[in-house]
Amino acid sequence: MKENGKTGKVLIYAALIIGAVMMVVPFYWMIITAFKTPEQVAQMPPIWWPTSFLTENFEYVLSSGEFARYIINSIIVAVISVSLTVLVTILTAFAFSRLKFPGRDIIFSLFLGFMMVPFELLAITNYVTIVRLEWIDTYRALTLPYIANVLYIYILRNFFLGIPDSLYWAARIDGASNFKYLWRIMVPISKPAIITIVLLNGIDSWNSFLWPMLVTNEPEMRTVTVGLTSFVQAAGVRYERLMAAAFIVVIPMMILFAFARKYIITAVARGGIKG
Amino acid sequence: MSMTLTQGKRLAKTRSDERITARTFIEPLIYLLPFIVVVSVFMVYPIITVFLNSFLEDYNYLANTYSGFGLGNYSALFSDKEFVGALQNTFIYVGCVVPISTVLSLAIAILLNKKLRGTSIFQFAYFLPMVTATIAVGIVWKWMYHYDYGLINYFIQVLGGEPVHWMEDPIMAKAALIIYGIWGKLPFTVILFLSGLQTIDEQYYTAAKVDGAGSKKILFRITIPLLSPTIALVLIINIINTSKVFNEVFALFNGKPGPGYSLYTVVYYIYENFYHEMNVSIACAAALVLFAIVFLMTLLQTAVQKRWVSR
Amino acid sequence: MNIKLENVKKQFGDTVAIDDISLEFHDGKLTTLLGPSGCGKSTMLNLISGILPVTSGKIYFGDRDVTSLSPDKRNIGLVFQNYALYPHMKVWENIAFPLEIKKVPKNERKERAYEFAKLLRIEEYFERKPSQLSGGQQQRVAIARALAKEPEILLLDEPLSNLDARLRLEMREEIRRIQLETGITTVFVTHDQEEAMSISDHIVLMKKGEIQQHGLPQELYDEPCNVFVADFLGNPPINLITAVKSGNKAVTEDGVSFFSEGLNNVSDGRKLILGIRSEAFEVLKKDEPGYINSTPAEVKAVFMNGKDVLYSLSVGSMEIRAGFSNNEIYRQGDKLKIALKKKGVHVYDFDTGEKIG
Repeated sequence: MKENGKTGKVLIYAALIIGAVMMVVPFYWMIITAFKTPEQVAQMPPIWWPTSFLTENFEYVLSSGEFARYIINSIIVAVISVSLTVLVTILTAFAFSRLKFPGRDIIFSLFLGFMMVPFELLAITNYVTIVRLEWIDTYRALTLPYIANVLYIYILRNFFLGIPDSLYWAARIDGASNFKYLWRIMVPISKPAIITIVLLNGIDSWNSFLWPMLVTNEPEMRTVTVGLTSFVQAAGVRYERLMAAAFIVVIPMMILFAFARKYIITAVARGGIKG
Repeated sequence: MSMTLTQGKRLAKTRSDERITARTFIEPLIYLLPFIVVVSVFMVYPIITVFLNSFLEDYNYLANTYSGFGLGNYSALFSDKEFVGALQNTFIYVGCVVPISTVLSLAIAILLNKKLRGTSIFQFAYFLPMVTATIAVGIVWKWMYHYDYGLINYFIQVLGGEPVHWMEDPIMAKAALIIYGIWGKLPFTVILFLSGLQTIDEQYYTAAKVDGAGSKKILFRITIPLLSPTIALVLIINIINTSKVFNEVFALFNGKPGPGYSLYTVVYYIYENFYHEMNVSIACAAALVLFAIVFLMTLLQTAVQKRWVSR
Repeated sequence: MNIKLENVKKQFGDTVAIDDISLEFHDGKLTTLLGPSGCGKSTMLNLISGILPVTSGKIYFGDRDVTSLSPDKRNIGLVFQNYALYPHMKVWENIAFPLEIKKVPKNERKERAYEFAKLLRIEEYFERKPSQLSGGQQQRVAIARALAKEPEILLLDEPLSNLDARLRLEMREEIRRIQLETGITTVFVTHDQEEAMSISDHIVLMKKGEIQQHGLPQELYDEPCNVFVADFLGNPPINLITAVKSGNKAVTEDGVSFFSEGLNNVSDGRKLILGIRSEAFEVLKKDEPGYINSTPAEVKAVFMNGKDVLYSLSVGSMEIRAGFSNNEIYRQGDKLKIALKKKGVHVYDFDTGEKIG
């Protein structure tokens, strides 16, 4: 296999490009269809480039369904979730790294073990718990159960452990309490790790489907992913509207990814390695 | 012995010379309070209850009554055709998606690792599915699989074939799901392989080239063996994740597990049982069975890997 | 502010790092804790700072019993070996951090930080971040930060170890200057005896958790109480010669003999270690008094450092370092007769290492 020669290079490029196209086609198709008219949608052979960019479908989705409401819900849930998760992660990682108490590391390894247990299993009881607490259709139910995420705590704890002891003592001698040290020194230094967590958690929250579906009944509490599935009923065979709806669900993450690509990829790599 | 704290980075867990008082626990406790509360209620308690509930017979979760304690649920599970079918479907899915996506991802990762131009565009393209909601993208695939107007049938016809009833035929539906599943798994797996590849020192390649090895040989005798820990890791992660397949099915078939229940997977079984039919204990038992199977598979995998990697 | 240690003991599990030490650090003085690695000097500093709790004993700052106080309550300043500057804060924010904790308003903090920056001559780096500074400059910031809250005690833990030779000289003088200017009670930890000798008011020489000797630098140099102290201080290191008292001389294994008045009180046959400073040798010529008792030596190597000349002499099978105060310069191969001066010769018991007489 000649790889260093020109033919080799061309072949590699060709393979990669074909692969890339196959990865992207669904998205392209979704975006294109979202701008089509119903007639254009049913055309065979398919239209690859719409003659005009209709916004009609988007208007329909945003106005008729409660889609606007769904988007707001997703945003609220994501914001609450990320804020609380970051808060809990910081406090917990601090306790497991800088504070000393007997059995600390053993207890932490135990929790790491818990990471293995699938969410689907926990969801059964958690759903029952939500029902019993009468938290169905509340933001509480949508956010609180998952703000303690051992993976994120693991990532941040590692980062904290890398901060030299001398910095801690310097701060204590300067008169800082543990709490002040955490927020004035450790957290600012840990920005990269925290951004990682914000990105991972934000994406996860926006994209989550199973749990929001379980704990919401009322349409006005649905998140955008759950709303999308209910919209499928309403759209019937109007695929152009369906694509527009899907597009709305997907586009924020696509934009985020375009901007924060490197960060997100390193975040996933870091998170994945531990998984 | 003097402790050079100024140079040391590692903090002792507790210094053996410090007296441990009640106060030693109070401060950490305050910091850990939110974590403890949430984890106890939403992680520890569920683990325990799911485990226990699976043994309860005739459990009514609303009234919180049950008639007995035993393996009744488990025997019911395995004699339930639907559950066995769900297991089979899940196995088929895992068995097809994991190997194919692993091999493909490895190939893609190796190619992407060759430091070509346009990395950022390639990265964007190959990793996009990872950040987008499965449920949304699944709906796009559903459209692509449309018998009359779907893209996929269009291409098949262009290539001279007959259009396929992806969404309607129970067997083709399985294939449709598998294809979509592979597509969705690629980004994450490629990223894992890429980071694994990057840990392989250039030196090995240079040494091999100096020894006159061709690219094929390098690939199989150097790259893959050195990558074996990553491959093992990837396999485990993928097996665990694919066995939980649910969103993809839900999206493709609008909440129904495939035409004629052909895509009924274990998680679907669990979902239907506890959400729609309130058979909480059956669902718990099923969840435990799934967890146990996956756990065993990963154990098996690690054992095999140990022997293979150490070669 | 006086520092008093009373029967302080520090144990790590089974290892005793500091064994029952009582010591006083005087107000306004710069006291150096000196010793090889592992002697306990850093441990002692950390006991004074509060970073390490004592196993038993008490520590007083003036009249205040600080033994059970945590570091943030002891009102001390500490300069770390690796500076420990806050990387995300600017220089002035680093210096002002102690004041920020004390809730001093921002303008005032910045002003006071500026005063200290000027004291340490780093005011031009005021707005920079630590990563943009050199080692020496970072060191100055660390010192400024330690002083910013105007503590009663300043502690420095091997602050100069990470600097290059030139900078080390410069910085130690700076530290001394500042210490004298502010009059703050200072405890300085180092393993470099020259550093200790040059800037200390008081030296505490430690080995394996025990104080070997403490006092004025010159005292330790002129009257080392045991072999370890004699060996540790002084550049070039003291010559240590094993010998036995025989007659009125000290005779080595290969028959070389030395004569010194300090041997007079030593009983015959006793095994000794003679500690002879390089400056305690003189060259005798034929008619000079004492020539009869002088020891033959041959010049093996000559070292010149621009200021003085040091010789490596072979005496019997031994190698001796000597420098002479006459104005002659000898060359390799020269044969000399050397004798011991009165000052700079110390006699130690071979087994215990303690001074005899």
